[in-house]
Amino acid sequence: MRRSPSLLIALAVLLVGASPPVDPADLDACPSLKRCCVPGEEDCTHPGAARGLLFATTATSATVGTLGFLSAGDSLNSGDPFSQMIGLGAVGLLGSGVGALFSLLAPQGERAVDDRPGRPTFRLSLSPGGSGTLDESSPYGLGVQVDPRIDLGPMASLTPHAGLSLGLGDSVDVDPRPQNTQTLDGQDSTFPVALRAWRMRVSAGAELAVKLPYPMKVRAPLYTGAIEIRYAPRWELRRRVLHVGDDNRRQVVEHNALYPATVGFRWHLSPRQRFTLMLGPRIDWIAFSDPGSGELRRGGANLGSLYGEAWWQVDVPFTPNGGRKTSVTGRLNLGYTHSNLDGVGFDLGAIVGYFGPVELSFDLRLRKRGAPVAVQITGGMLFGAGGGPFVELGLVAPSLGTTEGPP
Amino acid sequence: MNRLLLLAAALVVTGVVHIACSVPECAYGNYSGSECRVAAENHRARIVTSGGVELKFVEPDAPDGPGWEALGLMEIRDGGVRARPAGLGDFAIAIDPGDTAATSMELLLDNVAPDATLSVGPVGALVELPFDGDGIRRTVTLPLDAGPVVLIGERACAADYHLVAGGDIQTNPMQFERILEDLHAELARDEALGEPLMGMVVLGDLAEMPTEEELRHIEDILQRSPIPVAVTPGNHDVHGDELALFNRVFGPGNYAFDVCRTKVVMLDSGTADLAPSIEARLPELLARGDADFLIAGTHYPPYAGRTGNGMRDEDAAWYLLAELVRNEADLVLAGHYHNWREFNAVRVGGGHIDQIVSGSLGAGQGAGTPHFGVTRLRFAGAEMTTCFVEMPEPGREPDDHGHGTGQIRFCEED
Repeated sequence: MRRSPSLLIALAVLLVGASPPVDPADLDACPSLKRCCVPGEEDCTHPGAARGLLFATTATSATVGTLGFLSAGDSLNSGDPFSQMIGLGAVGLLGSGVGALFSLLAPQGERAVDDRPGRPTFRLSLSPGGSGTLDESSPYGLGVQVDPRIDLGPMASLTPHAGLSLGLGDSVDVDPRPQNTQTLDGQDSTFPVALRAWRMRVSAGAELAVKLPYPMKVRAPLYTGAIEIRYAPRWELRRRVLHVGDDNRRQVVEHNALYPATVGFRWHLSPRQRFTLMLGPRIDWIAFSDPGSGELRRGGANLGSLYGEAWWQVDVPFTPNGGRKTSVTGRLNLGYTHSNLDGVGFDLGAIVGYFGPVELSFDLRLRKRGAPVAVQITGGMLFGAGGGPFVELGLVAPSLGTTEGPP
Repeated sequence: MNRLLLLAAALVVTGVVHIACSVPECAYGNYSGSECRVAAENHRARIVTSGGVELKFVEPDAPDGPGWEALGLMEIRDGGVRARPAGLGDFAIAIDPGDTAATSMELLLDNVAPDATLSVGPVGALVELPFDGDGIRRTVTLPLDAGPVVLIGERACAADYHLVAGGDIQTNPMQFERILEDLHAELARDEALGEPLMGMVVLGDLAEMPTEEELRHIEDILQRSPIPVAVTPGNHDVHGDELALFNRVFGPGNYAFDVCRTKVVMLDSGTADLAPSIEARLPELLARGDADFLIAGTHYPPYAGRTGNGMRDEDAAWYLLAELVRNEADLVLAGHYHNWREFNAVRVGGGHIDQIVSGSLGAGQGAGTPHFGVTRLRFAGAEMTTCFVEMPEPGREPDDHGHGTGQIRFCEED
């Protein structure tokens, strides 16, 4: 079958993006592919080639994951890694396509954005609650996270992490059996309250990022973007306090999760776009109390489901450099987290429970020029059953340690 | 200040609108949600006929109580009332004639063990009914001129006995038909041993798509089973369901029953979670009582391992595992994963629970040799033992286990 060349060209343009305007002065910086690099950028990167490589690798991941899941997931007991490959690959696929559109739409090419949003030093998050069901309630969620960044020279950084999130009250669920027809004191429906539950989560860990030398010393470098290797061990404690049934006795279920070997990379696809992938095992400890007892019964560990997350991010400048007293920069985040903790999952038809949540969010960083501290506001949505909107308010303090590290 | 007042007013208005718009749980019937299926399965355990006769499933131990329980399905079928007890052991149906002018009515009973004895009459004055039926289907005539009566079904128990279990039929109901045929041989084998096969537990994904046509097709196939079958839904049975079709065709997905010395607790995890009201009832449902053995059956395995087939809400899974361990359950059976795999001694709070995943009733198993069949559970003395009985597709010898079977523990004679 003869393919239309215009279709292939359109596909190529969509994938690769527009050729950046070239300043002849920049040509020496990119000797092997002279029209490829973003002018004025220190790391010569060909965004189109990088996105093409991202497309190819993540398409392969998603395809192998899908085929593997369908053909060998059950017989080889490997559904988890294959579904992880599908979810993480899909983020890269979407990122490569949407990234090309952003590239086409960037009026001045993909030059780096100064003071681009990143992980704030201090974050306060809020997720809305409420219920449209009589006598039921879903509490607002509040979270606090501290992530100070310590630069370890020009090639590495370390970001310790501590976090706490909790429900601002109990979730309340009723028993909807139609046998419940008696009027109940203090309730608007005849369905008695069956379950009250309160959740909290504590997390601690650190993330080490080490920038690899760039470009690699090969004969014909493709300039497909710098890579940082990342290692992020973490521990999480989730506690659910239940009050069940008529006697309303308190019962605690606690889940400790250790992520000892979460490793991955951040790939700088262009001065504005990045793809981050993290993978690792999870080890679980489940503890519980008897109803009415405050004593937790603790036991041994089980190997849990695999953990993974993938993020495609693009910086969006709002104010010309130096143009105003306050600089405003944005960042669009598309992410997938391969985890069934917290009860949020992306379902599709009968495909229920295989995938974790998909997040779409936008960060807005505001900094008075010259000020050491910036404000960062994030609004986003977790897509999937049990998901919903959230907002975060963050403060960005200067990095500790030496000032030069991985961007 | 004005802005603060405006904000406060907006919040008040929002709150008033919110309260005014609130409705009781499941008022609009989103049956792809687990909680609404709880409402549906209870609704369908009772029926009032056009003549005003009320029939409802009740606890066999307390058949004359005022309420009813989701222990079976009542429906109008082929012009008459059909009742399908959900469990494998004793059952009870309370009948209130109301103001009907009829003096009797026929009731079609499905899923009743051939060895079950049926009695009817007022509580304390039951009269045994003659056997009228074939296999697991009976027809009984209920008196309506003597006030409220109960219909009781009771089973005798041998000291030792068997159950079989499996899940995931989906796109291959024909293989499931073969498995049901093979159960006749299993039944004969167990009879010869003096250890009767008491019933089958089906762990969800009976259909590929939750249409009434598909679900009714499986229900028709179940009519050929030589033993009663207890079912609970899987994700393929309930996703996108706006009509509670699974509950309409098969009855409840959340229920507990005793069969001989074993208590079986079926839990509807069709949406990869448990309904919060069922979570609240776990201590009640999983209370062992007088049973020597306690088993839970659910579609999604509460411990997923590397299968990728776990519940979406792991919190619900942790709580289920905790309650299983707290009640010293012997085993949790699951489907969803299309193969057979056991997870021994999943550690929970200082105790442990064994789990067997047996998604082996016909659904595609991907590359490699498929292994269709059932998990056999043998209850002998104080011991429960399990193994996999292969019931292969046509064209393959039963003893040709093929490749990749390291995880399957076949029964010895297979």
